[in-house]
Amino acid sequence: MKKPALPRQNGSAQKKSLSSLLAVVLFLVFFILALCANIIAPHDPWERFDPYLPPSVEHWLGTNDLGHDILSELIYGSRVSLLVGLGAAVLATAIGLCVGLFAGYYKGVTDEILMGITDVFLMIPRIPLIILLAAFLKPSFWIIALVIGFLWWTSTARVVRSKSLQVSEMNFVLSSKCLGFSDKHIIFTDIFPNIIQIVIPKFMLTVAAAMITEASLSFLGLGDPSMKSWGMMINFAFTKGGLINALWWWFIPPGLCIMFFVYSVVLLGYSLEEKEQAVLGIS
Amino acid sequence: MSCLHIKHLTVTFETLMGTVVAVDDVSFDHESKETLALVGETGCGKSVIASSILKLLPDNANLSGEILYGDKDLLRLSERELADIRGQEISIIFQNPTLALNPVYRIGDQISELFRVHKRASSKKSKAYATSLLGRMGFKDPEHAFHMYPSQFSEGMNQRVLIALALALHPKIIIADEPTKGLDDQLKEEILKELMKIKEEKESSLFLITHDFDAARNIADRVALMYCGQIVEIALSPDFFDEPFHPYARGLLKSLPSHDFAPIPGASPSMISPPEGCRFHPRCAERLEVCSHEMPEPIKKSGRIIRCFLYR
Amino acid sequence: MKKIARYLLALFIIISINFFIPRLMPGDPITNLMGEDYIVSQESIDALKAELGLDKPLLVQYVTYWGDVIRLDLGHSFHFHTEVSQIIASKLFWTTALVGLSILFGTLFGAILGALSGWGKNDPKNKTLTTFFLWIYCTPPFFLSLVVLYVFAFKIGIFPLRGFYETGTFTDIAKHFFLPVLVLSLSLASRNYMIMRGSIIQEKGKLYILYARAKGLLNRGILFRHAFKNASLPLITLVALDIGFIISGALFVEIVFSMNGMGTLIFDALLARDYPVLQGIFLIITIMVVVANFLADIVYGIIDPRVREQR
Repeated sequence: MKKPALPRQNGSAQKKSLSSLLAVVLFLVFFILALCANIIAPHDPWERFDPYLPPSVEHWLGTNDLGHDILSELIYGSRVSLLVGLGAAVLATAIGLCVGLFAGYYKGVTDEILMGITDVFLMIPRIPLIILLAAFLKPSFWIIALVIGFLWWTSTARVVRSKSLQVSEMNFVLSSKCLGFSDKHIIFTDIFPNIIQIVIPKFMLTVAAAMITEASLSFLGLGDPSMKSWGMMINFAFTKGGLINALWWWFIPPGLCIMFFVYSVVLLGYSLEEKEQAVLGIS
Repeated sequence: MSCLHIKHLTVTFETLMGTVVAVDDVSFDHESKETLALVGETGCGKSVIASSILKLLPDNANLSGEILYGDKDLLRLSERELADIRGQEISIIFQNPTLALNPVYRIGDQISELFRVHKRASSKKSKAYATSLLGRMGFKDPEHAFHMYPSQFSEGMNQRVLIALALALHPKIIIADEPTKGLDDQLKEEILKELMKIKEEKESSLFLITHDFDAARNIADRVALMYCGQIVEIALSPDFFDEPFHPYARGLLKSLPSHDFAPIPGASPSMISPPEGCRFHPRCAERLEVCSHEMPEPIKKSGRIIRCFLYR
Repeated sequence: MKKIARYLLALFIIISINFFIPRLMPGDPITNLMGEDYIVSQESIDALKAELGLDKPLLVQYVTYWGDVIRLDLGHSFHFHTEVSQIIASKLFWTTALVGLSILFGTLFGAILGALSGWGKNDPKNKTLTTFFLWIYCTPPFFLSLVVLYVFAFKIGIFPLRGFYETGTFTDIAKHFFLPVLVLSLSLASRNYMIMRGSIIQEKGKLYILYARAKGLLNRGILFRHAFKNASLPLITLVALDIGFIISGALFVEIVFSMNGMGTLIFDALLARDYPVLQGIFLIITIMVVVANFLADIVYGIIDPRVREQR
């Protein structure tokens, strides 16, 4: 009769926290780079040196066609990724939270309508739509963040809805209802705190998706021309012969930066969500 | 003649809370063609014994001892050799039939699978076998039942399917792990009757695990009583129910609604840190001084096996 | 039935969005509708306004728009000097081939590797595999393409640098397709791997798995005959929802590999700000995504009897 529910631990608890630590450190490094770019960067990213310089002591990652120092560009570029990623994710999570909470709490017709809208949004080909919008808008980075935020809330809404459906059936919520608290009060003081632990990992994944989307848009040349992002650096390298001339220091580092930053965010998200961690089993 | 010897079987689980000793030094024989009922409270380890016989325990289980089937020790067979025995020579019926069947395959396909795996039968032949089997299990339209999915059947119907599966290949031993749990009384009786009828027909032996004393009394030849991972008494069914030896057995029978309805004082002990000495002594009305610090060994006494100092 | 209504509604709303975008965006609607390659005098602007129906009320424009959409008339591209529908049709085949092959390989490999990894123990082999796919998951497809192109076509030189084909023979096309399909399949496989792995780990603990073992099935048999089918159910829905992502990925891969498909078309149209082409592409991709979701629903129903009953 004894069927222990707890699986055997592989004795990797230490390893687990080690790689979560790695994710935190990586994230903090990028965060500090973005915050203190003007202090850390060796040069002004718009300052011109000799073009096409390979990596050297003077320029660790060489220079591009205009003679800009690539390392400095990279350090400044982290600002765009961070701003767009966090900005879009905050907006998307806010929308997803509201839609999910209301749908899950009020149920019935409200639920039907809100989830109907979510289903439609889920089917919109998001990247093509953003390309279309960006083509019309000639955007700045905060418009990009806004558009991404408005399109990336659907999966958060779904997760929040199913969780708040569960929570709103629990006794303490039912008793709050009986005591005559307002719906608003119940949603924000009783249900919301129980949902936050599933929202945070979702938030991190949205940050990752937004960063990849921003990079992709910039790669198409649709980024904010006033702030050179990593995606845009790759776009310049690609369209101005960096690839053909094998100037690897021009397009590989920004791509690696995107990968590492996204990796740290995704891993952070997973390690915040115990269940997902078990599913991934690597962290 | 006995077909299954279990010798000093011990099963432990490593968990985060500590080591759980689910089965502690259990030995018994299972005779061919007999019905042996293993009874005990929920959580005493009886299902673990059932799963150990077919080695169906999760990875965190440690087994020791021997389970002899013919000249083979089931605990030391390879996975491939075990697979040949499972379902064909020893079959098992679980307590949640609807969960035991795969929801996305048709009932008929799940029965046919047995013939295809063990007999390498063609799909046409195994389908014919499966349909006739469904007919024998009391499905009025076996063709129709073949094409149904588990979710379209009631719990009772699915249990019939599981019984059909368990008996399909004429196994030597059928293990039934609480086959009637959760069913209503009438269905319980029908299912058990069906089980017994076919068991007699195929000349199989039945190892019934149950917490239902009435069921055990009605169909079992012998009864084994378990308490906290140990078997405390094994006796012929009439003897056991007329005059139980072990104080725990006496207490249990008295607690039945049909008797005095008087519960045994105290609660079942923890399986992680069981009491020292006799496991039952903290709740025992007839305990001796020795009971609290020495573990009684199983002894033979007037045709029974008993683990109690009163009969030393 | 309700599902079909839902899909039609989604299609209706998204196509309507496509109508409003050029009319609501900042800037001259004429430019927004014609593209910035088209410079004209004032008289011809008025004539054009009449021809495009921009002088009529919005409602009339809207009805006319729907008529055009149904006839698949997506307008005229002044940059390419042809009908938008024709340009797209000429590129659609190669892009669809690229997407189709990648879905096939990406789903197959991702699902099978994910299943094996979820089924097995969490040993170094599986951990390495999961870490590998997690890295792929974190890499934008366009960067993966760049790296692969740089290493295999440029440095090692075993694959052609650009295009769908040169001579048009089977081996020629296969050589050109290999790297792009590899990148896109890997990208898709990384997502499917994660989903399948999680799904299998969930199914692994269920009773029907234990019962299959009790019936005498061997490990691999249980995985592929029983667990796999059940675990792939969530995958079907997610692959369908991912179609938009995959097509977008294909666009970027095409751009990097200079393949003359829809991606390159977008790139060119963007440079010329040729809005009709961009809108037409958005419309076509939308239809593809909605149809894919509809098909996935049908497949799901075939596999899972519980869903079929609810219909």
